[in-house]
Amino acid sequence: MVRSAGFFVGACLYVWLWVQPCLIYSCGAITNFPPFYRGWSFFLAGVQYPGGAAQYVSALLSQLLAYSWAGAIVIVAQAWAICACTGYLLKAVRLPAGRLLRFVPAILVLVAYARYSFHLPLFLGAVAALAFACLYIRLARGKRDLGVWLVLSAVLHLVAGGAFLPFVGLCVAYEIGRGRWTRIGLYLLIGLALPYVAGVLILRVSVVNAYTDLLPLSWRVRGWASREQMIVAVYVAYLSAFVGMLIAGLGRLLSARWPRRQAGDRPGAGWLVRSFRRPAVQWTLGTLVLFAVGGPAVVLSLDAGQKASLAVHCYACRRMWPEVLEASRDCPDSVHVMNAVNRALYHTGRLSQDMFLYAQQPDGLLLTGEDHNVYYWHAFDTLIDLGLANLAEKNLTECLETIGEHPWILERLALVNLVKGKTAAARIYLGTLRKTLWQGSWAGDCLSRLDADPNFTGGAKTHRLRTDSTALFYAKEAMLTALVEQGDGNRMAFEYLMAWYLLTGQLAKVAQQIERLDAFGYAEIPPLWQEALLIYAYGTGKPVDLHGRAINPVTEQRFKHFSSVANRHGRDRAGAAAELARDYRGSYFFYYFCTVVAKR
Amino acid sequence: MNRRRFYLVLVLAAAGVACLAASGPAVPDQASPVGRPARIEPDYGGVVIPPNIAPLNFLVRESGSRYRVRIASQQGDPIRIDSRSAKIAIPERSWRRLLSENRGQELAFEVQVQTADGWRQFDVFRTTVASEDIDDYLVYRRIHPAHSAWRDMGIYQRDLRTFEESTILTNDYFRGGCVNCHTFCNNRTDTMLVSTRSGAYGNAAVILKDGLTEKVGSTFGYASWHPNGKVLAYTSMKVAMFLHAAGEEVRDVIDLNSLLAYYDAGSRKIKTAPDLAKKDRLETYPTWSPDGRFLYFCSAPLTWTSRNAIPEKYSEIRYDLMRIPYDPNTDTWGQAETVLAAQEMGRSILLPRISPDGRWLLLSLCDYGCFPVYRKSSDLYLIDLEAPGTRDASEKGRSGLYSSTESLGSISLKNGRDATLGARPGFEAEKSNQEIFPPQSRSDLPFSECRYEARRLEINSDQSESWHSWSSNSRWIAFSSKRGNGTFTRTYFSYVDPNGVAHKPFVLPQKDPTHYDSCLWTYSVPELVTEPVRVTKESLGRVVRSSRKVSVEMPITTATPKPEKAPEGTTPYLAGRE
Repeated sequence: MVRSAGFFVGACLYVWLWVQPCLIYSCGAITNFPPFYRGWSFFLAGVQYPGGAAQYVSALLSQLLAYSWAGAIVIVAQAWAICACTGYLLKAVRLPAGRLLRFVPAILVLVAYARYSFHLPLFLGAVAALAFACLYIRLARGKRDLGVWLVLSAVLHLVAGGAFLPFVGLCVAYEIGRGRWTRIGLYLLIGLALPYVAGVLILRVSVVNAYTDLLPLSWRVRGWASREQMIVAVYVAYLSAFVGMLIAGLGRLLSARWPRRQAGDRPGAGWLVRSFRRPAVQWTLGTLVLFAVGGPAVVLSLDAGQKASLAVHCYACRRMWPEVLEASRDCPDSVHVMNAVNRALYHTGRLSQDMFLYAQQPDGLLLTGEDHNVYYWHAFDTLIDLGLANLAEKNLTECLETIGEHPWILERLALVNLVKGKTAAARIYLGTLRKTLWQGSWAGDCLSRLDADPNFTGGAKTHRLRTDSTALFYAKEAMLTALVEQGDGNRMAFEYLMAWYLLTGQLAKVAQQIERLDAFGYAEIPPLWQEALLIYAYGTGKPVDLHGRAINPVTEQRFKHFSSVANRHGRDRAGAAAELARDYRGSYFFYYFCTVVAKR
Repeated sequence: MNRRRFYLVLVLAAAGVACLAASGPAVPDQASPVGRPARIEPDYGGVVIPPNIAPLNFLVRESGSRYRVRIASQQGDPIRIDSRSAKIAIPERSWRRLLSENRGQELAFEVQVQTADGWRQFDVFRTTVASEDIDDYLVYRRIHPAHSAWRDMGIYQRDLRTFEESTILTNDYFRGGCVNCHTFCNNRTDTMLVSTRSGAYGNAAVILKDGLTEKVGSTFGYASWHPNGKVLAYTSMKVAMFLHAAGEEVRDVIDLNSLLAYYDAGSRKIKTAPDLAKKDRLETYPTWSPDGRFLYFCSAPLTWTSRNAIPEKYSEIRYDLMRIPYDPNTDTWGQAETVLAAQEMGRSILLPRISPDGRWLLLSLCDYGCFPVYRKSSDLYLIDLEAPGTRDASEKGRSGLYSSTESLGSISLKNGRDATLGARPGFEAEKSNQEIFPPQSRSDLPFSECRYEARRLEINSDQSESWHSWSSNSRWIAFSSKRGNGTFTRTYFSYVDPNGVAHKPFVLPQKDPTHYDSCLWTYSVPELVTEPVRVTKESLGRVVRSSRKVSVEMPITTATPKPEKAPEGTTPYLAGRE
């Protein structure tokens, strides 16, 4: 008890503070995160098919992952329940190593979450199957065991669908140890027939679903890379108890067939063995093994890179810009992280100043969804901010289909429809959102505002691309240019267009765009643009009209020094880069030298 | 309990009930008139409803603490509803009785709302109960407004007399594939088609006929059953979705190539005819005339060579309405002729559906293209096939193209070849074409002399109207409309009276009147049928998953006519299309 409490309290703190379940809640790569809506209609629609009740409960519990502390409790409660039930079952068949073995599935449950996989409904199914098996062992006494089993079976199939089959397996494993072969045959027969009769014939679900829903074998899991990640943990959750019981049962059968030697035949145990047999020693050793093996297994399994990427995604979705920039430091370079970083830099007024302090490549500036990768959908917020409403709507609708009715996606679809002036469509998304647990009040407020102002004229000023062209849809530069040329003061589009020119080394276009600085209210030329203009002017020998603005002399001096260092190294670009990195990392000079010049 | 005590309890209980009743709200008779009808959703005011429709539950969009509704007509007891909720749920049994006793009469809805200032009496709003029933069942596809990916979709049937919806087939049954293009014969379900696409089990057309369900190893696009139930005409096309960078609707669809073919259910073969599969035309949307002697379809010129790129002038593609005679006894086709030219209308003419009595031809007309559900401009038009006018002399003088009265949207039948039916090439000379293929119009005018008027129906909204179907008695139409939101299609019904006047439509009633406020589904391709689909979803699912299938070969490809080869790269529909 003390050992379990210590282990699971520690696990809870670890999951809360390190794993951070809120990252799982917002993870776009999880395509089976269940939606949950308040109200009877959602409840009734859910519970009228086998496994619906477990799905309903898991949908509700999944929403708690939005808050890391609550999510940690849910996750650890699942791990504890699996551990406790497994322990009870192994104890029932008197498996000697049961006390310690029960922690194995629990550790794997924690590992699965630490790897940012999501199997909450499946684990809940496992909990249900194990708990009902415990109930069977507890309640089945004498002749009433068949009746108890039938009632439990019917209820479990209704509640947990396909998870009923592992329950049958557990009961059979238990009965093997008792040598009750008639019961075993009966249980197997009924176990195979019940899903068909109750699921297919009465509750009218498909055969496949009747037998496999809430099991890792389900078609809803198999064949989906993201859903199969760490699926082994679910198998272990079922199989630990089953295999343990089977081994114990078979062992008992065999020992009955080949009776043990008489006590008197047993050779005398030594001091060491006797010491190990003492409960206190066993407990201490077990605890040491548990914390020495289980603890590191859970802690070391944390996918730090994935965690950082998810953190960037989560913070970007919540517009937490400093946190985005901070979390990006631990991330592997990816276009999604770059996208979030650039957006954070823009909204903190640093894009044209600090963007090369972070990893950059042209593809990361604007993600159009043409590659059908919708997992990191914070990237589509950038499209909304820029005014590419149709592109955002298309991608967010794809998200809805791929990821499901996640409240954050619904929120964005409502927003994009508001931006497009389709307030009636926005109302439908808001109406759905109003029934969710956490976004309900926000959606209610929006609907109230729409009631008062049906055309949403009082909303924040937004930009929207007005040029319709099918060729424009995925063409980044053309879209940004169109947005800038619309003349509605879309400063974000302008900065993104300039960033695009910088990233792709189109310095002549940077020079051309300087004439627009007045229109967008720039008093001075931003530092990175100055650096680009210097490269362009010195590189081509062409004059650049600065429209009354000046290049900072320090910047020009830095450029000359940069050039001298680069020239000194001649063709040894690697050597030059190593030296220049000391003083010029984060400058456009350095980016240009390492990318555009390097490609020549 | 002795008898005296029993009576005492009874009296006390009665007194209690009386007290409770007396302590209720003020009598509505004292309500103050508001001077306008209550705002209700869905809007049922002024609609014509079938006598067999489910209760029109509605939401009173007036703030109050208590709501009273009285529904009355000439016959029978009125229905009284007293509710603390603004959602008015009408008792099904009383509703059915009231409607059945008042066919052809008006229903008056009196709404009273209790506020802090007392009861408020709103003006009565009325609906009319038609004399004619609507078909009992509606079959539709439910899908999210997807673009290219999909998650959950299925074909469902709704008993229109109640709120009961049941599943015909969902993609659960074949591991998340695509299911669509449900097509019935003569508004009955004993002959039907459902198309499926599945990565795991392949693409297939599931055909239910004569009590047997079989899988045909081909994909059938938009389809239409010949009234004899033996021939299924369908579109085979190479379809592409493209996207608009700006504008209200993101999605658009183009058929880069298409042709019409037909499946002979008797011989289990796929066939086509020269005029159904012209290399320089795009043929689509087949629909049979109720007498089975003509196949109507839409056709546009194929002006591009690439089958993989969206043509630059996609917004100039407009479809004509054509028809071609067919003799089911000899399985022979006549020559296609233009019924209605897109050039005259300045719009693309799509989705022809003829009423079962053969009188009305219902169409979707939109600014361009082949997919009206994505075109905001798509409206419903109606042609009276029994009331053709004659062309005037000046029109007769022109060869083929006749002008229309633009303001009325009138349509002239065009005979581009200016030839009589009997003079068409390619027909068996010994047969009298006039006998085999008489004019469809019941007027005495020869076909080439006919001139019809297409009326834009009053029921159109400023959003897309499409996917319409007729009830078996030709008095009701069901159609998909994006009215009210522009994104999610909902099913609407309209009564078409004997004069062809379509009355104010109403949305498919739901038990929860706020259902559509948060409904992320689109209800598309609503088909009215007189009976439920009886084959179970398990059976259909089993057939889809089965490896047994009828192997068929397309006689020509859409790209190059090579006999005995399956069409390459033809996809009959796009996954996410509504």
